[in-house]
Amino acid sequence: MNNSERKYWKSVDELNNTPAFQQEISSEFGQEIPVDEIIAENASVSSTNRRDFLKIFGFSVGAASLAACNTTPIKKAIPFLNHPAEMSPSIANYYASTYFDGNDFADVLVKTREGRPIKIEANNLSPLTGNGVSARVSAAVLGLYDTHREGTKNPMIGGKEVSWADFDKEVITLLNDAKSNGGATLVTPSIVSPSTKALIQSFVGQFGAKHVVFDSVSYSGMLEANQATLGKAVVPYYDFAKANVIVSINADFLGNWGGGLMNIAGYSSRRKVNEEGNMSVHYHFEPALSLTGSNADFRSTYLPSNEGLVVAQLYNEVAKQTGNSEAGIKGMEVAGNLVAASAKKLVSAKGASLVVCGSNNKDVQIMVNNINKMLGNYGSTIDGVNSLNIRQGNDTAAMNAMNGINANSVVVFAGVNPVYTMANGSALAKQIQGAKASISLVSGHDETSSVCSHISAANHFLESWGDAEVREGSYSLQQPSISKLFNTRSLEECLLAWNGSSASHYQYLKDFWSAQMFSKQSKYSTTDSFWRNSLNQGVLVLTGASSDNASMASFNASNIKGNAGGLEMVIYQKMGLGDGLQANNPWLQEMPDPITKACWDNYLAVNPMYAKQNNLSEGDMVTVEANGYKVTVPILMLPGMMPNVVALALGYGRTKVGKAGLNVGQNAFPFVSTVNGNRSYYVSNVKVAATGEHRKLAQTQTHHTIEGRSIVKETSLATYLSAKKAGKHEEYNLRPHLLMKNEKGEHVKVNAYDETITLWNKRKYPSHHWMMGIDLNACIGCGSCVVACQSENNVPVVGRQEVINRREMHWMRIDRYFTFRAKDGRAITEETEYGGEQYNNDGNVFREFKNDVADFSDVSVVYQPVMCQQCDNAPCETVCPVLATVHSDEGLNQMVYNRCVGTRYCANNCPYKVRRFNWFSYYDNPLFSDVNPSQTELGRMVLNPDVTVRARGVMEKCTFCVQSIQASKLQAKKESRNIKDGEVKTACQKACPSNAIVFGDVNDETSEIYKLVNSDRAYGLIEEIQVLPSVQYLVKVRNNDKNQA
Amino acid sequence: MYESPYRRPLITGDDTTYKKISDDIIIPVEAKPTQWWYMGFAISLAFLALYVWAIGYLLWNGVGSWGLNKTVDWGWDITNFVWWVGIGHAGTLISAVLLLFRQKWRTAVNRSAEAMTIFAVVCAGVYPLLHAGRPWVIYWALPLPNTYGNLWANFNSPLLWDVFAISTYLTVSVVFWYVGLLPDLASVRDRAEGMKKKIYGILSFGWNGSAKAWSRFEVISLILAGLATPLVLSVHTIVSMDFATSVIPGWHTTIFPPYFVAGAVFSGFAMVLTLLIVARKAMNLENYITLNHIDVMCKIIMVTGSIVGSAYITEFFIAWYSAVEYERYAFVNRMFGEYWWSYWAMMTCNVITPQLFWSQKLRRNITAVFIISIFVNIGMWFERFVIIVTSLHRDYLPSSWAMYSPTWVEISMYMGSMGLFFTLFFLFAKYVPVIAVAEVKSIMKTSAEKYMKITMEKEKAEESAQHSHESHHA
Repeated sequence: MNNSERKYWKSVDELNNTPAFQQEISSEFGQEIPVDEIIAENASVSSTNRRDFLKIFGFSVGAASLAACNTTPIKKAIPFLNHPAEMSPSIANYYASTYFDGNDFADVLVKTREGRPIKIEANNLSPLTGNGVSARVSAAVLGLYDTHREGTKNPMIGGKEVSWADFDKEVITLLNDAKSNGGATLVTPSIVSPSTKALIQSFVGQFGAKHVVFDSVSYSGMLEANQATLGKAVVPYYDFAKANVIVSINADFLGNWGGGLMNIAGYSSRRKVNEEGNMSVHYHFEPALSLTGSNADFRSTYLPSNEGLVVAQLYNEVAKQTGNSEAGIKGMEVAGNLVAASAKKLVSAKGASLVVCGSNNKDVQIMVNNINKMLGNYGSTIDGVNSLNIRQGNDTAAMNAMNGINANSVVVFAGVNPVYTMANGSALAKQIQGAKASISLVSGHDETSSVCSHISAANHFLESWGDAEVREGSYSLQQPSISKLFNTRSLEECLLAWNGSSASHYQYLKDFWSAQMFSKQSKYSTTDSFWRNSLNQGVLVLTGASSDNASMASFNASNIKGNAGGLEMVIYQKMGLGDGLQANNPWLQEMPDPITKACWDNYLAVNPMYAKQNNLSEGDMVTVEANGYKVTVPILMLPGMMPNVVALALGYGRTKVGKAGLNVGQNAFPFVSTVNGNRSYYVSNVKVAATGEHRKLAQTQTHHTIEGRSIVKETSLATYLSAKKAGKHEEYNLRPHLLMKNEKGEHVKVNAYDETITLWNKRKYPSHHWMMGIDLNACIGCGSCVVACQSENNVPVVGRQEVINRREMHWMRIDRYFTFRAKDGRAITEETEYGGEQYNNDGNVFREFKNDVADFSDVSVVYQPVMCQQCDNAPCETVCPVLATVHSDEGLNQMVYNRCVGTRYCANNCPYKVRRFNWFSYYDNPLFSDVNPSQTELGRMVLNPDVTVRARGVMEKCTFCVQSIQASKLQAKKESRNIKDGEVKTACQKACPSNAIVFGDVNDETSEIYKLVNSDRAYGLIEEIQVLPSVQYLVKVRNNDKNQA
Repeated sequence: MYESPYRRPLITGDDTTYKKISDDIIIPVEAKPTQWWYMGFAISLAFLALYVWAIGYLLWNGVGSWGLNKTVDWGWDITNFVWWVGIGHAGTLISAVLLLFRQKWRTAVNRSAEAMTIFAVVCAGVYPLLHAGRPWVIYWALPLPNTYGNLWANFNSPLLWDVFAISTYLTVSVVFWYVGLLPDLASVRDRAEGMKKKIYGILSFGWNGSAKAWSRFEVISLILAGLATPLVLSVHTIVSMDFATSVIPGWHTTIFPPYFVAGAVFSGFAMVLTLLIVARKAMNLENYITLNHIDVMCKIIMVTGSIVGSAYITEFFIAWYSAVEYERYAFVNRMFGEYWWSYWAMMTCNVITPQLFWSQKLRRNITAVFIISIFVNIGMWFERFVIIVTSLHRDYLPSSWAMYSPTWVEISMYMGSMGLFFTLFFLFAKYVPVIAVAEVKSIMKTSAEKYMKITMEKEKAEESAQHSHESHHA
């Protein structure tokens, strides 16, 4: 048998070779494939019948339409190729930097998240502005993401975008060509940076150029006066912390005057009442009510043209009492003989007193300097040695330079907008247009850049390096916290390029500091560690000792004249917009003015009596005419104004700016006149005429008195001290009580503000119990907290009309109440007593002013910041049908946005009215696209990722910055420790320049807040309704006892 | 059936027979509507369209399209809600409470009053839904099982109580009304032909008129009446608690529950009068809804109006007596504040006008009653406006005081809700017997002048016969 012949069958079928097997092996696949049907061209041959067709058709149409219903959002998430070591998602980084825009200065910390700067906070290491920031500094972060900047993304020549190389080439040629015509002119605001000054010096040297300092608001007269007194044209440093007696004659030193923010910490440190009752006394004389005036203990008004005479009066009084010779001018006393009274106090506090004056008249300022000299204030409260470097602009030099612009001129504008801020701006615009070349370093077009031939696209300060020496010996470093968003350069980068240097600005700055600053200090041994530490800390303090370097200077008495007659107008800066540099910042536009509570407008502030006499009412449009210039603005009745004085704010009426600030209000700069070579901020012979039109003002508060309610408790220092000594707290802090029967049947006094009588179980807070305290003595009402809160908590901007509709979204507000003086000296707080409906905006009832109000110029003002009071027995919590607002076991009243259905019952039932409802979808409703930064890709970058952007139809409110509490708790947990007192800070607290806000855990008996809530001055707002608020206020104490006056 | 010889007849007119009653009431259902009906219906529809437009605008843009603000968070929305709920009170009172008290005159008016109740509650119910910022999630107010763990509704919140109160009220009212309709729908069915017969056949649930059916009908009516009676008190009590449990001066008032219930009955009867005075004329039902009915309802208005007036005065007294400055200010502000006109409108309409009903002449003067009923409706609207808006606009902190005025959206929604109400009412008047035929028939013979006449004649005849008999004897 042959083995190879062997055969194996795979199956029985194969062995039998059945027909079925034959058929099976003939086909490749087990089953028949309907090839014919598939390739059949005729559909009728196909087995796909009508039903199948409809099924498939229906499915595909359905699937297609479903897929089309919702476009999948395109998300741009680009992973890092090289992950920056210092950056972790969701963890904020802080960079020390410096803010200076020619007007405002602050040492700041920039909070960045995922590489985006989202908030500007105070750098606590700064000796000048370490406490807090101003509203404008806080808000500056928004300017980085301003879509208006997209207009100047690249350098431009004649409106055409070019490369920096081409731009530089042309500019250098122009600058070189200009040498033969007396050189180019570089116009900047005051430069406080030593490295930039050096760069400008070499620029001036290389191109034979001129450097002109032009400040939007002039201190030129004061500089001249100090030239006479101190031998140098500077603004001295004022130390308000050392002053026991402060007399201010129209110097809004807590607001926009002088160092502004730098003055607040020192001032408020002396306004807090300590155990010894050591508190400074503040006299304020001014024609129009300012923020500083509203905080004074004694205040009186005068006509602005009489300012010199009021100063002369003080001069004479002080001279008399100090044995010096009088001014030789007959002075003028103000109402209440307050000048004489203040002189007495000044002299009694010799060497620890301070006289400041807001005048820009050289001779008036010399008189003020002489008064301070007579009082021995130089070297103590006034530091003329380590003076300030701000406000360097000399008006005569600036005017001459501007007027000299002609067809051959090459002029460079950096950080200034003279077409807007100069009185004859429109004439200047024509000159600039006629010039050979005009170069504007600008970030987003302004009035000046619009008429310039060359646009040098500029950085935002958060994109730039830099340094500052705002006060002699006080150095600060500025570092970028984001790479440039656009193809832009700072002034320094331009100067380096034009000077022909190839160094980067960073390298230049580092070299400069290594060369100039390193040697001045001894703390660091190497330049490298010096640089790194200085950059890390942001500040370098090398201020030397102060001494009396002043001498009595002579002044020209003939320049001090009395009343010129007619209606007078004060031109001032508001806390929000200032000089208008940030007019396109919707946060600032919507920030209620501390005094008037108005936003989105400037207006003619008048005394209510003036309005009555001229038959005007709130919101009536009037034309204001003076110096050949005319604007039409609405009337705002403001007590505290001199009856024959009106006031108009600068900073409004921008015509070349982004959407938010465009044509908001009217420009008041053209009213500024030049007197004796210096710009003067009041105008005489103003003509006001009603147009018959009406414009509703956007005010966040329209009722101005406390109606006799004990909402803001106020007492005088003498009462406070004597009652405290006697243990009679109720004399200055009367808290609600009830009479109740005890077990013996006797009636006893029982607190009506705590849990003594309640149906509720007392809440228990086993771990933390967060509370906030606000010292009404320290609060100056500046509004910095409001903007900081807006920045921290993504609070939407709603625009003018919605503010009129009373729907502003600010989570915290500063209530401002007026008290008027009756003819018999009584304080009037009730509307029915003064006929307040006439000047309230919340109704249309016209009622005459009651006769017992002596004069609306005599007014006393209180400020009260109000945010969610986080009540223990919160009325809002019980009424929410869906439990969207609930109590935490740390004492917080939590708001769950996702759960909120928007019944608004909670807001109705809130006795403090601090809840804010999202009436519209602010982040995407086109109605708000002009004002709400979160509506653009760029603007959205400012949002704090830790805080939800709230949807339409939900309620929101202050949460005590719960995101900060959580972050600190996590940090403490990671480090296995308890939270330290002061570790958690709310946004408002961090921003507050006067340290009025204290926040912490009252379960910690060593904490600041524990001390504050147990203070004899602490009380809760409307605590008698027993909601047990977690915010406690300290009774305001004014140092204005009659015997002291 | 007991026939009282001393009561005035509840149905007037000569030759009233069961057949005539059926004809009088059911013929309007069967016949083509009159031109007046068409006109009225068209106007109602126009307002309904306005309603739909305003609601659409509201939903698209958000509650911001109303005039509310940070201080006044409820305005016309809740004012209208409470107003409509109040109007809805007469129906239940008439059908349930008066049934239990065996007030037989109610049979002529209960059907339409109940219909009005239901429609008013529908109009009212729309407001709490739409006043919410996010109406699409308003169902979270219901204690529904959910996937959020143990997330539940807040049983402390009066708004939640409202949800239960209003939905219960609506359910019971609808059931009560519909059960009452069954015999009448069957009557329509029996008289109809074709498609109509089928539809009414389905609607009448196979009513066969058997003794058993009638017996069950009576029992269920009594049970439902028993269930509905507490609702008359509870619904507006709970609505009033929206305000009474709050801390806002002018809201925080314990007098609110009885005061709101009285006010609700007051406004409900006023609305019933307003409607029926027109309806009885338009539908020739003067014999069923008689002057006596109007007279009685005017008396109820007078009584409840006086209760409301006393409540106003009590509130003032308590505000003064409490010595709470916020409370005092709230009430002085009502009288002399910015919204003084709404307060005085309320006082005039609610306190002064109902007192006119002391005069029987006025109670029986159709024109006067109609005008006064309108006044009461207006007055009760202002009452809610005064309570809600004037209390809110000036509460504790003067810094937040603000004014409120409605926008066109709110006004359109209010006008529109009237459109909805009248559209429903016109449909009701056309497709359903507006008077409970079966029940009215039951009172036809409870008293009758004819019987009295016959009885008196008989007595006279007997007397004279006796006299003659006596004299005969004498």
